[in-house]
Formats: sequence, structure tokens, C-alpha cells
Amino acid sequence: MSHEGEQEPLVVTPDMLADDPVERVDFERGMTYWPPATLVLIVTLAAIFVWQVASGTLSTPAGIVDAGALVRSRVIEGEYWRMFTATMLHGSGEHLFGNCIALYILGLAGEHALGSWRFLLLYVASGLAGSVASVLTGPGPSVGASGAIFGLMGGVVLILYRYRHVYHVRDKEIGWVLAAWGAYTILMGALDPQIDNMAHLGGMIAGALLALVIRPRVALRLSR
Amino acid sequence: MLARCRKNYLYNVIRRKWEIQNPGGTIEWLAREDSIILSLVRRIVPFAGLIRTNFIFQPAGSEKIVGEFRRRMTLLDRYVLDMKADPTRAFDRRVAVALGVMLDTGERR
Repeated sequence: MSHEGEQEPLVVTPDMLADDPVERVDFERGMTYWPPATLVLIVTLAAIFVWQVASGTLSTPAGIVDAGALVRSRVIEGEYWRMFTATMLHGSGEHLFGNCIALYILGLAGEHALGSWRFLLLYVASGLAGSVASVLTGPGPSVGASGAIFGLMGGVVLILYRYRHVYHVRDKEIGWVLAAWGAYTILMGALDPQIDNMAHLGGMIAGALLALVIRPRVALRLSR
Repeated sequence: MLARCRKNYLYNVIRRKWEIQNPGGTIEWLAREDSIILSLVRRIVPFAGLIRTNFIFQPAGSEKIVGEFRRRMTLLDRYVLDMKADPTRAFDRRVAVALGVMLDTGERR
């Protein structure tokens, strides 16, 4: 029964309802200035560099090759271990310092996002991918942890992008800034023939792809 | 007096920090540079000086974010003071507004 001028009751359908409120996650919550695996890596790289200096591997090109640098012809001959050892060596103190600073910043983010073991997996796999890219595109010799570090960059940027709907505004900004940093470094690398930019690119792509597979802590928290 | 703001300039090396004390002198709130990662990148990466420096408000001794003070991407100074994360208004809004003005001038932004 209805009176004149009275409207029919409105049926509420699901499309009229607001979305469920999204629980915002603070990416940096609980982040420590002392990420253990990152610090172990930095100390290891520094210790290896001290050994390089002490044993004179930096004095001659042959010395760095003997120490384990990446050389395409040697890898093709079966010295596959060079794809790993090259990521632990550095060409100068400046090279090591720059890489350790970048490793610290990206390690803070990466280790916090993934946990120590998955972070190490991402680091090592990206380093190896960077070495593969380097061997495929240049004769070498080449050394440095930057392929692995670019892998961390690619991984962290992808995680921040993938879970952007749950992160705070500032966390999205971290992703953009890290991506810009990566682009800037790749661009600068392209202008300097001394830099093994393909190792950077290979590591970065591998890190991003791995981050699609490895579940970050935020995903584990959301699935609970 | 509602509150007193103090800054330890030593923290500028890594991450800017202001302490907000109540009239009794107890530190109740902190205004920190928005992010650990961004604050480090700003200090190390050459172009990163162009990245806006935003601030977050947190209770002293806690990581909970109760407010954000962000500069907008405009030529003139435009800021957003976002206190949505503090619905109970534990952070006195008068102090928040004053803090915003001070962060603009005190940080020479």
C-alpha cells in the first residue's frame, strides 16, 4: 500500500556501497638502522677489498682477473664461479664506498620488506643475473656489487608499486624516488664506457622479476 | 603557552627531528623528516636535493604516525596538514597548525 507522492523503497545494491576501508600499511614501521644481513654484506665486501689491496690484485689488470673478475672468455671456458666472485670484488676504494652507501640504503628497505633470507636470495640472484647480462654483452673484465644492488632497487620499487594501494603516500614517494635514482644512475652509466651498465640493467630486471615471485612481509601480513 | 618546539641540529646529518614539549617540559610529540629512506637519499644522491622535505608527526617513543605535513607540487608554497590519522585529536590542532608554520620557516623551505 502506498500513498500518493510517496516513493517506492530504494533497493540498496552492492555497487552503491563504498569499498571496504583499506588498512593502510606504513612501509617503514619497525625499520631498523642496523639491518643485519645488509651490514654483514657491507663488512664482507670491505674485508674482501682489504684483501684485494693487501694482495696487490689492484696493481695490474691481470691481478684483478686472477682474483676472480668477470671475463667472458674465461666464463665460456668453464670458470662459472667468476659470475659470483666478480660481484664481491671492487676496482677502487671509491667504487666500494659508493656501492656500500647504496647497498646500505637499499638494504634498509629491501631487508625490511623481505626479511633477511629472502633479501639475501634477491641480492645473490640479482648479482648473478647482472653477471650473465655482462658476459652476454661485453668481454670484461668487470667487477662490482652494483648488479646485485640494482636488483635490490628493482625489487624494492616493484614491491612498493605492487602494494601501492595499501601504503601511505610517503611510501609511494619512496618508490618514485628510488626509480628516479635508478634511472639517473643508468643514464650516467651510459655516458661512461668504464661502467658495466648491462650488469646494472640485468640486475635491476632480475630483481624486479624476483620481487614478483617472492612474497614481501606486507603480503604475509595482509593474508593473515 | 600550549607547547614548545626544540630542534637538535645534530639530527640534520641523517634525519631532521623536532621535539614538541608540553608546557611542563615533557616531550610529547616528535616531528620527523618523512622517511628514513628518503632522508638518506636526499643527503646522498646528487639530484635528490630537489625532493620535497615533508614531515610526519609521531608520539614520543612510538612509531605511530598521527599526522603528516606535506608540501604540494606547486610553484608557490602550498602545504597540506593531514591529521586524519589522529581522529581522537590527541595532538592539539592549534599546536599542529603552529608547527606547520614553524616547519615552513624554521626549516627554510
